[in-house]
Amino acid sequence: MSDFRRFINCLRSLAATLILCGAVAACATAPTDPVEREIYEEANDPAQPLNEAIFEFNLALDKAVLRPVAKAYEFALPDLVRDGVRNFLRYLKTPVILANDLMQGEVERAGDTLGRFLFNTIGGFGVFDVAGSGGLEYHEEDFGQTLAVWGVGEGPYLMLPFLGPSSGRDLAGFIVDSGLDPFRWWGYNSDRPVIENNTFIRAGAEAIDTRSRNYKQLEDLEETSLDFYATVRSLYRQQRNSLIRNGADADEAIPDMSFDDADMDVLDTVSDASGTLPANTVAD
Amino acid sequence: MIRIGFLVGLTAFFLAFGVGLQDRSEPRAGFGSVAHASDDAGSFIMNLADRAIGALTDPSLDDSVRAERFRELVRDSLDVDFIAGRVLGPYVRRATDMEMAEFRNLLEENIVRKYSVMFKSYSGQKIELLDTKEGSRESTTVSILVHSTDGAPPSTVRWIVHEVDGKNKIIDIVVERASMVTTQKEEFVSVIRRGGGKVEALLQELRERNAELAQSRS
Repeated sequence: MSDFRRFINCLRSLAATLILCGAVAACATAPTDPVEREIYEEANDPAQPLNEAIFEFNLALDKAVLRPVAKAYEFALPDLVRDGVRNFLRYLKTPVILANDLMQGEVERAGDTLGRFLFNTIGGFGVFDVAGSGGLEYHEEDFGQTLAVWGVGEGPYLMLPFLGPSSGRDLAGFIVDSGLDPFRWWGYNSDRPVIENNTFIRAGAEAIDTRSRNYKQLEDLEETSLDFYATVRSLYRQQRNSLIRNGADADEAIPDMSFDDADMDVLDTVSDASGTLPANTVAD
Repeated sequence: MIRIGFLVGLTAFFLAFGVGLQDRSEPRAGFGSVAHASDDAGSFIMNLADRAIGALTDPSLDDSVRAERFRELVRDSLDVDFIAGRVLGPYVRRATDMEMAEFRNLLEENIVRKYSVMFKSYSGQKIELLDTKEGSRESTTVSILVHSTDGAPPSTVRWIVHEVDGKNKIIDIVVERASMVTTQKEEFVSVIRRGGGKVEALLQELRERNAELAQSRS
């Protein structure tokens, strides 16, 4: 099979997932009650029943496979080795990050990415992050963020099997990034198993590495949350929005996170009312 | 590829209350001789951290004593009324006076139970005041840097503070990328929605959860 055909097949299965989500979305009707409608629109999760089923699947998979493996990985290997693994995985992402830096017109950040690549190639064989120690810190960039910078809307929230939380925009970004990744194309053109399957190997290693670093936090979060699905959805969106702004001042983020005027007017009244909230206050 | 990188900032979520100044000789940036609102907010947060570390981190402290001490700090420095109104989202318009009053108390209890135990694991993280900025609606954003003790990069925590009757009160804590109020709001709204749009569904959940927390940690 030609490598192009393989890539198209991959796109096709992703498209099928999208269509399925679309079908579910079409079935779920928006509520008519104004309060419920506002909540429905804020959640921006029209395929929620399907997303939740996939979330359950991902969690089960995590408990059965990823978590034990990540725990063993953390237990078996010293920090130095695990950091090396992470540095190398990041190193291999350089082309995709650089392309997206440039597409977003972030010349300085593109320079950082390129500089990191040079320093870490020469001084660290890709495994040691000498550039990071010198102050050229790693940053993430992907086509989902590029689309956001270009003004493309977020699209509905999506929970992808194996891949976790996403959105229409981030799924499109993921597909484009996959196409941009030269190592994937190298894999298509190679018969050596390690090269041929490098995309999957990298994805697996990254999953294990990330999971091993978040072991405790995720546990605490799942334990303390009253609705883990909603918590993850909220955190995913907040994290993506911050990445899109390149971590820039959250000053603008704080108002639009939730401090809209209608809400605040209610609360102004509330604060005046010495602690008790008025019943059924209508904001507008 | 698995997108759980967004969890990275969460360690700090659980440290947000459990951090403070160890090295008191460290210079506190931003404290000029001219006192104005944002400086006040900055020193308010730093003092609060000092008090929390002093009163709560002793590992030999009884859990119930720690919880009560933490409750005092919460009542003194967190605008629970304000937060209670925000985390219900649009459902705040449906809540009756009685539901709202009970919710406010359940929320305070939940915060106290959930976070007071986390001070036990405090291991000397240092904090540093980064800056204070005037925000929207007469709020002030106090940014602090939390230095980890295990060599991991420091994390940023932003405290959103406003004044109530001339006293500083916290209305949100933003850890790395996550606002506590926003996250709680989506969680609570979802619980109510699953419970058929009734605020009572959330109250029930919180009552049960608080009872569990009180039991497992007393």
